Amino acid sequence: MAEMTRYERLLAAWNLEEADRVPCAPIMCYFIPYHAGLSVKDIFTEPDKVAQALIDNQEFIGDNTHPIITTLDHMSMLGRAGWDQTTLNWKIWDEFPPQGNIPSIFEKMIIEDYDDVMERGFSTLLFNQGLDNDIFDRSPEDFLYYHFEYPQVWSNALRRFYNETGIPYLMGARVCHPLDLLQYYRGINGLVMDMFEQPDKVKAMCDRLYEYEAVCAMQRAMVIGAGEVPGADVIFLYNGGPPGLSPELYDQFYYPYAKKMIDIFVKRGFRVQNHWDNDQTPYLESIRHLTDGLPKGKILMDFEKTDMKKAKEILGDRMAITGNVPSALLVYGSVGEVEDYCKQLIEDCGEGGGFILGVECETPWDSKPENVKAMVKSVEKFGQY
Amino acid sequence: MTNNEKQILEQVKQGLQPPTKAEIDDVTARWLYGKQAGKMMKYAPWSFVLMKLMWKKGEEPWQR
Repeated sequence: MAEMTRYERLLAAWNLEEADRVPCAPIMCYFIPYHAGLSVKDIFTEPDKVAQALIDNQEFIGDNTHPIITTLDHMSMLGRAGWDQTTLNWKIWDEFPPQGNIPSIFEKMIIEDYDDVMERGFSTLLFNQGLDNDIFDRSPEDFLYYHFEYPQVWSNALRRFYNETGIPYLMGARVCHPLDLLQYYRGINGLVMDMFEQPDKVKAMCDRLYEYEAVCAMQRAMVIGAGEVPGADVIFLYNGGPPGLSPELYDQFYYPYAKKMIDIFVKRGFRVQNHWDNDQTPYLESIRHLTDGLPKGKILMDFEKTDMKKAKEILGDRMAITGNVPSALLVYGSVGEVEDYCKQLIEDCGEGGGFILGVECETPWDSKPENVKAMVKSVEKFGQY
Repeated sequence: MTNNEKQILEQVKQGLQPPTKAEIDDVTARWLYGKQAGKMMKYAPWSFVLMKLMWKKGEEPWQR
């Protein structure tokens, strides 16, 4: 088969067709910036440096690149996330370990009464006094700039990356499943108790949240370049819900809102990468129905701990899958071990197309560079159709 | 970018129905103001002053 471009190769996989070879698309927010000597603060505030780091380190990039909009999109640190920081207990360091760390949310009970939020909305949760994350030191101008102006600045920097390299984006925007949001607002224990003690209120909140999340994500994808840059039409829906839900709870609380959001995106011309962490193996029969009523080639399931061979068996004729070279292997393993793992994944999932080699949640910032290169190269060695 | 890629991208562009400003305002108002969203938007921007009255005692950021 003639060599395809990266974009053509990825689209073939999304469409469940064989490409010239298996594509490789590891998610990388922090690995390349760290490798290029950037600080965590640089990643959030210096989009030109981030774009240059990506341009200078293409040997680590597979068939697309994470646009690192983590830094400005929802459930994140800046931009719209400036507002997220006023309702969620983010801790954001300036440096990578050991001086700092990558950004983290510290669990805190933010929503105490669902009815109250339904009545008054989130406005009275903004600038919550229970938060201790420096939001009260920021100026109004700072919030407004990062929400309304910065996304375009970021988009312009990324566009330079695309123009110089021709490498597609992995996504145009991120969107959070309402249940994932609620686990941050109520804590995992609190939310799980709510599912048993006040299930109707949890569902009402999910109903309140999903459309807002979906509309904001589509708007953000347009700013990043949907329809103008390959891959920017992909919405990245995360994160798979609280870990360990029974299939019954999953079908009640997770699946219906995921399906509603996916339907909105696809019917409005976007594609969806479902970045669903934890082990989704028990839910694969439900996940199979995500494509009901939708055209082919619009959904990519992005798995972390899920049994990929089983996922291929159950989902393979309906949607593409990507995953899941283990983080621990990239940090602690050898090149040979990484190659062996990739070879086995390709054997398990590559047949007939519809598979993109990827990582678990993302490529750890402290992965061994030689291991990342081995993963990216493995598709050329073992993934030819 | 190859001609094939340009064609694909053009098809993507034609198929996109991004949210309108009215849609964005509507969902944002409902997220921000819950059941008060309709009133807040109808009487904006004066209504935003009423935010001060929507905080319950002890919640107000200015008490920090």
